[in-house]
Amino acid sequence: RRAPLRTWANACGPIDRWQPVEVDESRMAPVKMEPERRWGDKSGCIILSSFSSCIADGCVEEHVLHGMQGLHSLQALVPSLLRHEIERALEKLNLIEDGVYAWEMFLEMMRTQSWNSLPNADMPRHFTETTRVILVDWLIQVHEMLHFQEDTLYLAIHLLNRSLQLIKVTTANLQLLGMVCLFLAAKKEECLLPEVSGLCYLMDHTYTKHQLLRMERKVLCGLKFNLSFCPPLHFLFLLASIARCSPKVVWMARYLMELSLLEIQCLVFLPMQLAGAALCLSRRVLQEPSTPEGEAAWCLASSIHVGSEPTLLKIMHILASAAAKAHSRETCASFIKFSSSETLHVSRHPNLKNASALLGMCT
Amino acid sequence: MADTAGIQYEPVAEIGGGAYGTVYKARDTESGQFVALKSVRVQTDQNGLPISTVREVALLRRLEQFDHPNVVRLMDVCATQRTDQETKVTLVFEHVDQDLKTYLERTPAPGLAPDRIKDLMRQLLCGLAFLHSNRVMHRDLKPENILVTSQGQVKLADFGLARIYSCHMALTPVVVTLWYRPPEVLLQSSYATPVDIWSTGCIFAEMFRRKPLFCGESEVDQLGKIFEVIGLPPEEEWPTDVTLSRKNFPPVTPRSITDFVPEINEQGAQLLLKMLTFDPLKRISALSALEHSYFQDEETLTQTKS
Repeated sequence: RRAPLRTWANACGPIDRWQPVEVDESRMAPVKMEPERRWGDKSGCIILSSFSSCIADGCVEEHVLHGMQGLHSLQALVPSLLRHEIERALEKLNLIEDGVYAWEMFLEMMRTQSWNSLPNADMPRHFTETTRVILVDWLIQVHEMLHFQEDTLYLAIHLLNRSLQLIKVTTANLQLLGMVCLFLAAKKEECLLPEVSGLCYLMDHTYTKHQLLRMERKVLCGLKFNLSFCPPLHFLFLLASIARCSPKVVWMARYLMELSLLEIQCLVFLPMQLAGAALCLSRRVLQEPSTPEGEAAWCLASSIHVGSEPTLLKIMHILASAAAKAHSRETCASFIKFSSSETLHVSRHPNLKNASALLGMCT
Repeated sequence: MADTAGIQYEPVAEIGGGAYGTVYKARDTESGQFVALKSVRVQTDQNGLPISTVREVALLRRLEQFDHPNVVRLMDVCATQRTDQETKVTLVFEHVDQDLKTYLERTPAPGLAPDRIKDLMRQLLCGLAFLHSNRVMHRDLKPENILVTSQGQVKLADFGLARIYSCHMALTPVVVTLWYRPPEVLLQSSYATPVDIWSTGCIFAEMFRRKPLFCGESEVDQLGKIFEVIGLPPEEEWPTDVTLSRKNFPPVTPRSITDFVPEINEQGAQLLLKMLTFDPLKRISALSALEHSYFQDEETLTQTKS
């Protein structure tokens, strides 16, 4: 079925030679709840009410799609409580080395996330949406097999999207390009690299090592070595930590966000928007009983999104319909990955199947 | 761009050997602008470009996105294969005619006005603070790689290159100047961003003197010349992880910095001493230096503030 791409079973052989990369527990572990925390400041709720009323109106303002409108005035808008929460969360998530710079780091994440975003979702004509879905799905499988970190996958797909817009690649070389993007992402993010010969094996020796390295140079030159990317996962963990989300909500959001990699419409959204939408949808799908503390925390986390509600809603629609048909698609690597017991079987959650009901909840 | 690199950039002249290989002035045939081409030959094995090169160049590209006024623009990067074992990485920088060395040489007697020095120092420290806050150290700061545009804007060049080049440095035995090196580097102890502050201090003094402050001929000689000015540091400040013993140096006491830099004012002398502090942990940081009272009196005409 995945004609040009090698099958899973075929590809599983050489993996045994690689030592699994040590997974940093603190990064992978879902955000822990801290129920004893008391909320003295509820100012976040005021912002949330505008958030929900905006959703109720269903107002889709095109001009807010590309920029985080709230960003300019973010510093003025956020209650000091939120700032404190952001600083704590970044430190807890090990995203920063020094707590003193946490707030600057957050502002920089917000500011720089748009630098590397794509201006449009245009792809070369021969790279159809179907081809793209097959390639990305295959890369998700290879990524999982190589035990890479989740960040590496997001970077790889980001590099793939940008490469396709910047360099000319024939249809025959698309798989090679995908592999090279994953390889480069690994060079940027991973401690342990697979051998190039192993990567060629995974492609059933369709390409030589020489071709792979030539493609590596081509991609690096095309991108001018610009490999920076702020992965949406960082934003997801940050939001989830502030919102005190349960592990299940976080796993569900991670699944939904991974589905966005397959959706070509999602290319133009900012990492923070993807993370916000995934988390929001996850909560709606799981419908966990709410507590006053939990709601307050959620309000606070949501206040980061002030101004981008229509975009969030749009992304939630895309993700909801992707999740509804995920189980029946041929390209179901993420569905399988997130159906395991470690991921709390989130992809098999019954609420996901009924897209219309999900969409109804969102509007 | 790999294939077009040779065509897009037309070499005009060789500009200086540089510690890391030849640097060319070239013309961008698309824009007509002059650029500086710096090439690094990187050893490549069967796994392609080394991780360190990929990461370091990617970091330079990331810095570039901030568009800092006191840092030289990195306009393009290309990688071309030379042999199976070697890849040439070409970094295309904006070209600035003049470096601080020629700028100081061209300045007629009696030298730069104090306000001009203050402005240059402020810009230099702004650039450094930016690099340091992004965890990049220069490691080889000297007047030759501090560029000064015709409008008087300071731009740091060659930062972050040391690490890209270091893997193949052994191949080209080059004499790197010792004059701006801090004690911890001369002693081969561990070092971090304070190295650049030491060099900045040396350059600060040189702006007044119009000649270098410490002109050593070997590591030991360089250290000796440093101690003649700042005095032999106490035993407890001497790093423990070095082979060169403190006993090798005569127990000299510090002399007044104004003996060596007579034109400097009082605040300037204070700041200079904080930069030329033996212990890197006690040395002032770029950010704190910018807040020093030397910069806080009357507003000088600045090209850039960031």
